[in-house]
Amino acid sequence: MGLLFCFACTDASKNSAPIPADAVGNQAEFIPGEALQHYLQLHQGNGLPEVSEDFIVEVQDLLDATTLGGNLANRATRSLIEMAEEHRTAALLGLLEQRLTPVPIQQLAYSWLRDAGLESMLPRLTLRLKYEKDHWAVVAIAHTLLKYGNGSGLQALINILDDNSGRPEIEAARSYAATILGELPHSQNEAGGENFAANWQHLLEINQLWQKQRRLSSDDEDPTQCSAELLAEYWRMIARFASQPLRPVDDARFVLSRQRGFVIPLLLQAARDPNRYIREHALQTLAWIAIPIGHWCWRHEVDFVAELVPILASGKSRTRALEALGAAGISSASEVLWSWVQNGNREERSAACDAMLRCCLDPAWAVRLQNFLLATPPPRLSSEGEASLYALWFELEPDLEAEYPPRLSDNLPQSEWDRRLRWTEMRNLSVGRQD
Amino acid sequence: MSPQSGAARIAAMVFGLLATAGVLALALLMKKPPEIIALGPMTSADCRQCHADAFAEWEGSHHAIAFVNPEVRKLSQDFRNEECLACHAPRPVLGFEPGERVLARSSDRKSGVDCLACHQHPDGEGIATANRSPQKNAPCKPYYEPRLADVELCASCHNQHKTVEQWRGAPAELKGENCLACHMVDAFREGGRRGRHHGFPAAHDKVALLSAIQLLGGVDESSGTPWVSLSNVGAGHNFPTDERSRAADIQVRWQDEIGGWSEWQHVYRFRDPYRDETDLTNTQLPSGETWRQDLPAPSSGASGEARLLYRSNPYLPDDESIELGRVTLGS
Repeated sequence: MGLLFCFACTDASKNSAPIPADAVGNQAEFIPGEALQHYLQLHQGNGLPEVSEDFIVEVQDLLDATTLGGNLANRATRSLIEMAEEHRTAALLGLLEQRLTPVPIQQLAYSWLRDAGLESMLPRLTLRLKYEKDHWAVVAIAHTLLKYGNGSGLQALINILDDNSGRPEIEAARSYAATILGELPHSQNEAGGENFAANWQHLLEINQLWQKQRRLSSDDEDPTQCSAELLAEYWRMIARFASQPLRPVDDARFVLSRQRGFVIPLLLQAARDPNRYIREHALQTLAWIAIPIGHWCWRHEVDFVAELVPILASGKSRTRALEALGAAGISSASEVLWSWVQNGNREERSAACDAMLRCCLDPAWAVRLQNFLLATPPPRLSSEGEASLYALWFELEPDLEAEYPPRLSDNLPQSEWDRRLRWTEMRNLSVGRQD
Repeated sequence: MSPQSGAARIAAMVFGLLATAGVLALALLMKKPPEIIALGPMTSADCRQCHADAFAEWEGSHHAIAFVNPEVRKLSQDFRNEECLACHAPRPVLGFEPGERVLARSSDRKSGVDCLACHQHPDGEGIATANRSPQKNAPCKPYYEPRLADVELCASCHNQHKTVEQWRGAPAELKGENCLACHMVDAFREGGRRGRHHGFPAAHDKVALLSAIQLLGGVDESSGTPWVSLSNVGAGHNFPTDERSRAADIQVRWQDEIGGWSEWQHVYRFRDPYRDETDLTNTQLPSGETWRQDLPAPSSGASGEARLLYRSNPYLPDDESIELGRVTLGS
């Protein structure tokens, strides 16, 4: 009975104060938007065509023949050149997506894509970064992505150039990667590197810029829209979110979280899809993109918080929406999140606490946090939620001379602490901190 | 004091006590019964209070360590691979359509696949039970939910690697009624009440593994060739199943003329490879099927042994694997 009394007294899920429905979406009805099916139909004729297995084999044979020399090689090369671009690009990608394609053929296919592929290959080409094991091929992917302003392969370039193991397969890839250094994009104010050390430093810098802002130089045009052909491929990738087996979902998250900012509006549209799995993974992908969202929305005057608030009305997607709100590192989301810290159920409160840690930058919040955390009776938060709020309090009030983590260390696995420390470090990259 | 007046006084006291007790009893009967106070923001730890037996069984299970198991953490890169979270710290399964995959939760991940993962009503309004007549006045507001015994409930996680599809295609005599037939056997609680054991014996339980297979070996009478076979005689799904990291290996060793043994030699591996292991194919042993292989002996009439090792990951050394059986080949 004591236990029941205790629950009855500390049930913080009971609303302590009414919250405006239109402000935080906690009472409004969730209204799905036009999303996946609408856009798939809209772009039906765009994107890469489906090609047959026979056609892929034909392209493989032609690639093979280009290595033979003489007239045969010339004829094979001509046949590939004269092929419709979209069919050739689709066949080359199809070839690379097969499990048993020999490495030399793969390398040829990557070279053709780099030199003559269509932009609509970008999503499927990005996915090759996840599966490709041949180092030279990874460099070729990074090189091709860079041509289209995508820096997803920069970290792989850094890793390969930094590998001093001397293994022959690495050396070939390093030689290729070194040639790309001179082609790295520069802003108008930056001169091209004159030696390897300067180029290497520039590579590190643009990789940081990509990680933070999803662009490759400070005067990058950073378009808000992409071509209809590329758009069609992105929606096909978003369609994979509905898959019941997880691999297609993971593939789509991998790809969409590594694109330029113009996927953000697409993901926001997908986050209103009637299908909960589409919504869930669109929101999760936004959370994976994280900090660059804040920067992109700031540059393009998009109110990310206002875009997500209506989705909070969906109970099934709420925790993910809260997560995405926090991950973008936009401090103005704090008020919305705080209402869920106080009034959500256990899951929602956890998600909102975590989100607060990721985005709340205003030191004025320290007092509210202190009052909340030290209240009697204490708020009944999960270990995760409590750890996040304490971490936030200590971030906002660095002069506090308390031990960190202050308590609960036994209830939270080390990896969960580590996750929160990573979020804490990422706060410095938020749009409100510097730009 | 006369004996009569003493007896009268005692009678009066007894009467008074009885009257008081009657009034109290009447008052208790008249009193409005207390409202059932629903448990508020529940965690699985709250279940222990009333279900200590089942909770203790679950605590010893791999469901309980689904999030903290070092092996899982290593394979998932400490769950940086968030794909794994959905099944290792799931939201309540009943919140999803039957058979649809679950999604990850945000809180109490440490408790892995906990009580609420299977039993919590999606809206938090009560606890599902397979008991057809639950105690309605219990604080967790239990209600009968037939889905708890349905394979689709397990499928939400365990079909990611096709285990439930394998079960659907298994021979009728091995399928059992559902997953519970093998993985949640009867357990008798205090007072003789029948429940289901929440230890979920499976790939980490040697008894469960042994009940799935039959290892045989010998020498063919006509050709004199040693042989070994493995039959899936007890699992209503492939052996091994579920995680692609599971592997079962047949090994053989031979005895020389002076009785010394050779090193164990690899013969065959039962396993579904990862997608990037392009040179391998799925060699799991389907339910009810037998694999058999002849083993050329190093010399005519040599005797040997074959054994079956079970590995919870394919790189586990022999001495850390579970030996499930050993058979003699030859005299």
